[in-house]
This record gives sequence, structure tokens and C-alpha cells, in this order.
Amino acid sequence: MRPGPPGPVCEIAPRARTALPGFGWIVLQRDGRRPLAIEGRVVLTADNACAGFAWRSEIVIYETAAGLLAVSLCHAGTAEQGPPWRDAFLSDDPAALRAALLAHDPVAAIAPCRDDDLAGGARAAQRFAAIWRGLLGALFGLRVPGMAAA
Amino acid sequence: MNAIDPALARAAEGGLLIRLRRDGAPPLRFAGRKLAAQDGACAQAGLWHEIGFYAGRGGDWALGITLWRASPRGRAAVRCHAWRFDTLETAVVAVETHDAAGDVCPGIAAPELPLDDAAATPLTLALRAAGLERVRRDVARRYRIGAGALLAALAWQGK
Repeated sequence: MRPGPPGPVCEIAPRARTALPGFGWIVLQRDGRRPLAIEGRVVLTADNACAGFAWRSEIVIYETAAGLLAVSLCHAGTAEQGPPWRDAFLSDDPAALRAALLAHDPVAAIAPCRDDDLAGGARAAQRFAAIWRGLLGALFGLRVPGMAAA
Repeated sequence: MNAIDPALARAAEGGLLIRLRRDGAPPLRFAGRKLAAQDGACAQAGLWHEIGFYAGRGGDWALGITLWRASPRGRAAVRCHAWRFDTLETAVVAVETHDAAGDVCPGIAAPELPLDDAAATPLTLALRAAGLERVRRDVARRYRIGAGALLAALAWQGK
């Protein structure tokens, strides 16, 4: 969190008329774009890190002082696979936010082109997709099609 | 890419003489300092972008983007770009809109397209083109990660 409004590089989310206590400036990194700056606070953080599996995702949901919701996503593997993939978006509608998360394909976000390790790569991708669906199921309390019973 | 020629470098008002390599043009030289950089090198990348964002002493901005490939001596440049900008906004837009996939050259750490080879079958060409497209997509994907991280680092600096 930063004490004052961030500089001109950020895209600044719609602001509230007055500053509210408990809400501070947060800069959210985005994929290939300038970051999103929100005057917000964390609502929840969820991740699906599994012991023994390098790939993991993290979802953080924020509410802004203007009454919007912001989500930041992060997918990370080992250091050899490169820096984490990060993106963030704003929404005024929780249903739209849920739909966007359900439609997000984490394997497409992180899929490398080198398939000299195809067998391991395909299995790892399947497992990564499965634990992502598990993360969404835990967040939204629904049974996502394709998920085996725990 | 951020080669600071020791013979020419001088510290003045906290800045240095920066020299950015460019394809097909003399290096871009200016007095300034590096604000943020991202190097996409990692064990699994055969091609990666390095991005450097600079503030010029005259209140302008500069951007250097280089596509590197692995070589026996560590790395070798495939494409080098460098530009100066009068405003921060145009520099940021340049980072966001750079055509990273377009930096990939067929045959340089990427599949070659045997367009002049009469013996190449349509299947061969199609497979090579698909392989090249996958390399381009991966390079673009890695570039976007680095660009997002660089712009976030600039934002954290209060720029």
C-alpha cells in the first residue's frame, strides 16, 4: 500500500468522493499493460500451492473505496520457468467477476512453447488446471464440471 | 544493451552517459539514468526480451528493448530497439504496444521457413509455420510478463 495516489504510469481506478479509513492505494501488476491502481483493501486471498508441485495460482480480491471489486491473479512455477504471470481487473458486478474467473484458462496463460518435455508438460498442465478448478470451487463453493471428487 | 562505455561514462547530477544499441542506426546516446529494467532470461527461454526504461537528464525518457538468444558466450542479440520520448505517456504506450512477436526472426533460435526450397512439401511448410507461430506466441507472452512487471516497478517508484 502507498500513502498517496500513485504516479501517472498507473491506470487509476474510479475513485470515491472522499477518502475512507482502511482503504489505501494498492498497485496491481497487469499482463503487458500499465498497472491498475486502486484505493482499496483486501477482501480475501486464496491460493492452491501444493507440496511437491511447482505450479500454483493465487487470487486476491479487493474492494475499492468507490464500491468496485478488483481481482489480481498470479500464476507461478519454478524460477527456471520464468517470472510469475500476473494480471488484474476491475468489476462493479460480482457475477461478472465470477464469470470472468470461471472463463479464465490458466494453462493458456502460462503454456510455454517448448515441448521437449511434452509428457511431463502435459501432465503438469492437467494437474495445474485441476488445482485451478479446485481453487475456484473453494472460492465460489460450487462443484466445477470435470473435477473429480476430493 | 545498457552498455555504459567506461571510457565515456561520467557522473553528472546523478546521471550517466547511456548508450543504447539499435539495429541499423548508431547507438542512442544521452545523459540520464536507468529507472527500471526487466530481463526475461530464464533456463527455459531460448529467446527472451530485455527492456530498459530510462529518464533523460533533459526531462525526456528513453526505452531500450532487445531480443536475445542463447549463445555459447552466454547471449547474442537478435533485434535491438531504442527510442527517445518527450513524454512519459508515449514511452509507456511504446512499452505496452511493442510488437514482441515481430522481433522473432525465422531461423534464429526459431524454425526456419524453407520458402525457397523447391523440395519442401506443403506439409513441411505448414509444420514449420506452426512451430514458428508457437515460438512467436511464447516470446510475446514472456514479453508481456516483463512489460507488466517493468511498468509496475515504475509505478512503485512514484513515476
